[in-house]
Amino acid sequence: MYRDNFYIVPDGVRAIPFENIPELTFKDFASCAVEALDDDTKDNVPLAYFQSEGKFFIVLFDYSTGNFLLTSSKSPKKVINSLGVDAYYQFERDIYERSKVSINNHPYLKPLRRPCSNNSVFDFETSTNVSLHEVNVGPVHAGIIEPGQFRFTCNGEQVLSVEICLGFQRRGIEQLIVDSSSNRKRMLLAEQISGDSVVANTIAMSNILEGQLDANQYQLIFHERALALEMERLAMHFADLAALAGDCAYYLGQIAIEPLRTTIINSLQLWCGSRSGRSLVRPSGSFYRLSLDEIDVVTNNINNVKKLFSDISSNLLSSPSLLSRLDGKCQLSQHSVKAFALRGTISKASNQPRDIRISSYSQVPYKNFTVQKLSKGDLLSRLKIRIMEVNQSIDIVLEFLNTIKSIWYETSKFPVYDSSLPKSSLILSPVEGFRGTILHVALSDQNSTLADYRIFDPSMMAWPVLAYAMKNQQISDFPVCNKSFNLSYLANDL
Amino acid sequence: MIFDAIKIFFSHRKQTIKSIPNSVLPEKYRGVPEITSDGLSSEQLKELQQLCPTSAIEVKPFSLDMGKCLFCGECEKCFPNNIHFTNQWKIWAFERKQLIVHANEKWHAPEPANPVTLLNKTIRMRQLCAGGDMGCELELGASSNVNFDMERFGMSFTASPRHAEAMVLTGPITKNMSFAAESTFSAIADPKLLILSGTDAISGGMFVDSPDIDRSFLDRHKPDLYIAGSPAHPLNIISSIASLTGRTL
Repeated sequence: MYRDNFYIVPDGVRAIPFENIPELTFKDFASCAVEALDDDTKDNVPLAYFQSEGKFFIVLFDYSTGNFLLTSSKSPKKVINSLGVDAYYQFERDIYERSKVSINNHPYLKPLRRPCSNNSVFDFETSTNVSLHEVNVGPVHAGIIEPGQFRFTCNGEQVLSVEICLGFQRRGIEQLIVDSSSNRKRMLLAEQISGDSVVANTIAMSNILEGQLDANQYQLIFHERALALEMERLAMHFADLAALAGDCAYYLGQIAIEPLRTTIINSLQLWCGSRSGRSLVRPSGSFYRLSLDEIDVVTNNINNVKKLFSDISSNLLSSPSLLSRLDGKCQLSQHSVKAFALRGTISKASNQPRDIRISSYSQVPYKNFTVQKLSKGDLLSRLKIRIMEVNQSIDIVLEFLNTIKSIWYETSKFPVYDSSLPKSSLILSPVEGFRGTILHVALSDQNSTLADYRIFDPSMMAWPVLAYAMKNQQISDFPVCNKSFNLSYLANDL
Repeated sequence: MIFDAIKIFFSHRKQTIKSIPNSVLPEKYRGVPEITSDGLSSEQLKELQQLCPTSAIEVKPFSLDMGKCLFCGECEKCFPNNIHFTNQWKIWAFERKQLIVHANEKWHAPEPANPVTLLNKTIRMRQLCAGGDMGCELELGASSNVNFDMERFGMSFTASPRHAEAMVLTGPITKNMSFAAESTFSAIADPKLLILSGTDAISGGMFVDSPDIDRSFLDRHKPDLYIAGSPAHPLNIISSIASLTGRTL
């Protein structure tokens, strides 16, 4: 039974001493990692598989019970075998890129990120068939978006395959976090991991730096963080919906949804001085508190957004040209979502509801919360799931605003930057960002100093799935398909 | 169907900001700082200097470089009597050194430049993200939404560099993008302008010492406009670009 080979982390525990994590031979490690994914009674999803200090770690999260499963293996060899399933291939490319450990039997062993050198070339697959043609897109794209390179192999207008080359956004942020001289710098780096998930990433890092806080004492701060997280989700879902509507030439949707995002982020600006929620989350305290007057203004804004959004969303879903443009395109089955270990909005649209907010890792109670899901997994489902999540988040925001008002007090706690990490431990910090579960992993040594820091965003797993979903589709569907996934380049390249 | 659409138009109303220069941001917004070293011992000064994550604060003479500043407000919270971020959002400069705020002096954005004759008050720009953290990119995108609507002032973003007069660069310039930055800029016809938006682009921000960054592009090309902020506010973006085309907005 694979569960004997894993350490099952108790509810809500983030710091796990290394001595609790089983150390297996690589053969056992590989077989139990695959076995865990085959268990149909559980919903085990690999959130991380990485090498640090000569050891391999696998972090699974069981979405059916809300527990982490951990295991490790010491591997002195320079060559390892691939675990042989889709869910681990992206992690193996990452391991290969960082440590130059060679991996046998991997179907696509290219570095996850393009090597950082001016004369390096990414070795795209080519076809010798003269009736096919290739289309290159990027790294510089037509709009105001991040860089990434796509190579399409097409038969006429039909896409046969897409190869994605990333790494243009690589800034080496994980190493900078480890090398930072103070926790203040680390928090500011966390704000810059991805400008669209500032709140999610800062909450994740705060949870690592501050340790386990007393839930009663910090109830207000936890609620404020959860409120900001929902506002960020709202803002980014509005951005995605507006972009999708714009790409389908449904401009009324685009111009009516864009200002809703402005209202949300201007509310964040009123609260903390930054439209993207910078400086809002700090370890064990906060600089910017929501005052009672501001609570009233934000409540008013959200109620207004709720009213306007209900009109526009029903108009969006009753527009025949928009529906026919999206219905049945770039479908992703529940089976493939499981195989590629996806989480977040994409998996919810394919009948696989995975959300960490219902687990013991959320610091505030979400009342009457059910994870939204749709079954079809096409472009239209990915649009609809965002509308459903927006409606849900609006209600959560209003509820949290009420709660904050009822437990509000004036004194604010100054953030603590000199707390130390637990000794020789692996510290896990999951947060439900708007794309799905973001996991920050910190490793500490026996002197309680930070030895390694890893960030795992749902985008990293989903990039190959974008290529998979485009197979046999029209090349003209790519922009709208890409927007329906809205993956982060930064969170992959870091 | 069409009546529903008309209803939406009316219920959403016109939301465009009427006057950009008279817009006032909330008190908590961190814009141009006012600084003074009065009452600080040399040890406190050193502490203040070390507190800044991007070393934006100089001690002799006491000054703060807004090209390096992340506007995180950490220094203001620890030394509230010496540093105060006002909600003044007009922060741009035509020369790098103009972005430095000196002690006990009020900082103002420079007067509009002599209009660049080729522009004739309109400007089309190609944006290039080179390791930008999406903060600046989202704000540049927001500049042309219905709220800020930069196109009414003759400014717009274009897909092809061949159609552009300027390149707006965001991000600290990663090694992998240094080649693309050079070739995009060279694809714009002469005479052309280079605009840097955000702290990351202006000074490299927190990534300046990262081995994956290559800022040699800026050794070869001199920027014409620095838009400060982390990220720069859409109001600031629109006003500063207007200033570059010789107008006050």
